[in-house]
Amino acid sequence: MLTTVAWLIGLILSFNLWAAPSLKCETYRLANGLQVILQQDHSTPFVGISVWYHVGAVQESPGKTGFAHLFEHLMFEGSAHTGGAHYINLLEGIGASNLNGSTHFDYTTYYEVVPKNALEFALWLESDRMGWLLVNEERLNEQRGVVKNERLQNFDNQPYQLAKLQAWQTLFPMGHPYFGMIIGEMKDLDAASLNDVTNFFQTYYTPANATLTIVGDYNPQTIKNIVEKYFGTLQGKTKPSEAIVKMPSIEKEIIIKTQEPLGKLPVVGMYYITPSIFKTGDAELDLVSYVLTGDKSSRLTKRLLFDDRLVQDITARQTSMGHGSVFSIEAVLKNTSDPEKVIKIIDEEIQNLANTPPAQNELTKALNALETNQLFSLEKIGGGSGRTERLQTYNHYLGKPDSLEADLERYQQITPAQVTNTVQEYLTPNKRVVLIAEPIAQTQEGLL
Amino acid sequence: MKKAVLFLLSFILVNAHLYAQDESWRNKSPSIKGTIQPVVPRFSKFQLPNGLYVITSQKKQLPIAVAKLVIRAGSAKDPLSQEGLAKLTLNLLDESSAGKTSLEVADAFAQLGTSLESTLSQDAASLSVSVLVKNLEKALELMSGVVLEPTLDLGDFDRVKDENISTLIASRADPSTLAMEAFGKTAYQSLPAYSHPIQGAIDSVSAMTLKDVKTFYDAHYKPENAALILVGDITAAQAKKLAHTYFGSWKRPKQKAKETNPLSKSSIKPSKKSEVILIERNNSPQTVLVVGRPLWDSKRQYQASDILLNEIIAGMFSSRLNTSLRERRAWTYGVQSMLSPLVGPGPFIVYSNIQVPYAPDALEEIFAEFKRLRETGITTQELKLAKDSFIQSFSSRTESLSGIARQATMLYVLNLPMDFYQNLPKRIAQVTQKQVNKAAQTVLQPSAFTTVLVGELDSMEGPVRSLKLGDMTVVPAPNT
Repeated sequence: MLTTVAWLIGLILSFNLWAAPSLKCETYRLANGLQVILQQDHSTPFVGISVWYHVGAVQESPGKTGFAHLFEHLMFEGSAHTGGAHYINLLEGIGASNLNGSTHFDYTTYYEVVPKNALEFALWLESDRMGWLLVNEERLNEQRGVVKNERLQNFDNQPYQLAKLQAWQTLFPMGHPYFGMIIGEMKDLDAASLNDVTNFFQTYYTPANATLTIVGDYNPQTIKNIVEKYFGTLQGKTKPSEAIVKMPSIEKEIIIKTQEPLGKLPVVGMYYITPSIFKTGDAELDLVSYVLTGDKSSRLTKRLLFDDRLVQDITARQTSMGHGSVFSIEAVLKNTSDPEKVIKIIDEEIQNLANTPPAQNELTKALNALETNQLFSLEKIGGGSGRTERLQTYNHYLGKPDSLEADLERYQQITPAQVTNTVQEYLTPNKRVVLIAEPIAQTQEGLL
Repeated sequence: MKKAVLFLLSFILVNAHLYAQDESWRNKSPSIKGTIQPVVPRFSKFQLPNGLYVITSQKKQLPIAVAKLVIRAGSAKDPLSQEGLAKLTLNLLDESSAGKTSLEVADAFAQLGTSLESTLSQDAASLSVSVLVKNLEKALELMSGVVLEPTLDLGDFDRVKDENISTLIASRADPSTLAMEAFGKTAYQSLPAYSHPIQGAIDSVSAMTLKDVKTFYDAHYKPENAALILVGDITAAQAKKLAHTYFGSWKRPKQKAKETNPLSKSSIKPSKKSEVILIERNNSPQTVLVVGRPLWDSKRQYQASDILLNEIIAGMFSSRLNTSLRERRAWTYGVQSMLSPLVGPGPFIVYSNIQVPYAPDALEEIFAEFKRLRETGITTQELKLAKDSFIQSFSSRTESLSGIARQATMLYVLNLPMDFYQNLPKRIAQVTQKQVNKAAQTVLQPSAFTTVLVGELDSMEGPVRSLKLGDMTVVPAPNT
């Protein structure tokens, strides 16, 4: 399988949510505005910690793409009371696992799982970088270099990624907050200054704009005092206002043809702007992605991979985000396949779904897969895909961390007719960007 | 104290103006009392009368289970000149089976909210499903059909072979694949079982017939060559019953096929020569770099001292090479080293993507670090950090059922005792500085390294040659 088909490399979570056991938790706020979510689980002697700052790439100003992510890197470089050591060094020293930071369009998250006897140590660290971040020119330059290498590794040196970035930037032209695709433009990364860092921190990294979530084997008698001790005295501005993001409207299909310098096979992509996460249409489009490419026997996979054998891989996906989502269909073609022919077949299948509601059986398969994925996603208490992030996600978008049941319902309630209506409304050819990336001509010998 | 003040002066304290009250109490880090014992799954193993091993481990928190069938039919078993046959055979298994067409099989798994995932390594083929425990029995029934009664249909064969060739063509674009294939070919040139790519090559796969697949299937897919792993919300007794019901009828072949061991001691001949391979790849803004060697004494791969040495080289984020190449110099997004245990001699490898102009410097730095480790060894702080990090985070490897199934797979494939992982943290804790330094003498000995770089040739050929790291081969881009 080509992992490079993924539209984004680990920068955006795809939300395929379903519900099973309830995520009972307690939520409260400190006087400085910091929100706290607690969930006990004493099955193993570990604690998952996650801090969300409700700021992401959508808050970047034009010409400063990639800044939220560059800033995330600086959050690991040291704070005033921790001896100046790198955060990951300190966390590895206490046996933390599943630790990292991750920048998204809507938020930025920092997380780790620690042995329960190191909980206070980890909160000491998280509070110190929330209140006492240290930066200088040298660290900024180092991390600017690291981030540029991250972009080179995940975009510039990966087959098709620059072509896909071009399609993305056609959907969201320069000046739109989605334009930079989180990782940002090289020239903007070069332009980031210490002044930008200070302003960004003071505006967005305030306790009032953050949520601390703790899941696991903590002592319920003492946890609130410990949180108060480390976070209670932190100061900061009030919560900044929400970003206002207008989705572009595409009136006429835009087709991009590119010469692919690295990939050896043609790639076809279709991109549509769709409703925001948890809004009407979002769950419907999750189901559409299953009906089209959820398993080998689903519509597009069966037709293009099995019957006509024109592609070697095809994936439909609703990438859900807070200010408007993107539905994409991406296919890696066999080297002799005609991209136009593949596009025609994809269009036929979308049209079929727009004309006739899917069979209940097709939706049942999707619901069963969502249910299975949901339960497996609750295995881990923390880390990038564990329960701390699940609580944070519901809290951020719905204002209620324990929204498993509500999430369950939004899928259960969808009728086949609603799926068809959603396809009619959003997946129309005149509202999309189509990408055709063909490898620079090579001799057959060149492929061997 | 003075040092700390100087240190602060060079930084901007982003929020300092906000704090009127004294917060100097924060300078003292909270103490960490005692140690937390790692939580490691317990495995039990038994054998069915037909020779199939069953390995189970119960975990009750969620109503879910993972079933995985592991067969000793990895790419090391590819016949000479038939590179990729193990892979093609595995990929054909989850097509038509037990009276169902390929699409019916896929649909049946999807009805259960899951899909059958297959993976191939040098040593083993595996098929696994992740299911709600209420669907486990039906999933096992389907899995049994796939493995015991595959149709091995000609139409499926043509399509799957075509897909495998297409995947191979696509993978020529991936610099890491090119680098790892070249590493294997060079470092394991004396051991064909491990020297060829797992996925095979375009010409060898193109020449394969359905008969080849059937021959491979008959030779290797048999119960005494396999283990069924069942982990999750299921007791050992339930697992035993399910294994009997769905895999008890798997017959041993009547005639015992003559099997030659591609990894027998006599076939392992360590090479003494260091080699450098430069692979030209145009339009590359980074250079992929692989440095490593097989650990010819296979026992080394589970030696606690070697595990800690690897952590210190580039296993952890705070390792020497990552600190030097990423944090200090910003030449890369990261560098990683790994030990990959195999039935035969597994490799020790350092891997990174380096910004083009700095690839030769990074390579020089890696070898300089190896030399420092051989000559001056590790520090006590490094040893403590590596041990604490390894032991205290060890439980996280088996927090998920897929992690537990992965450990069970390793236990079976590598013939390790069932309590191997139970004991590993203790063994790690006992390692001394002297033992790690001794390991460095062997793992990092200066002879017989294989170095591969993939990227723009202009920027690296001259400088890399002048590093004199061994016999150098330059592979130009195919279409120039």
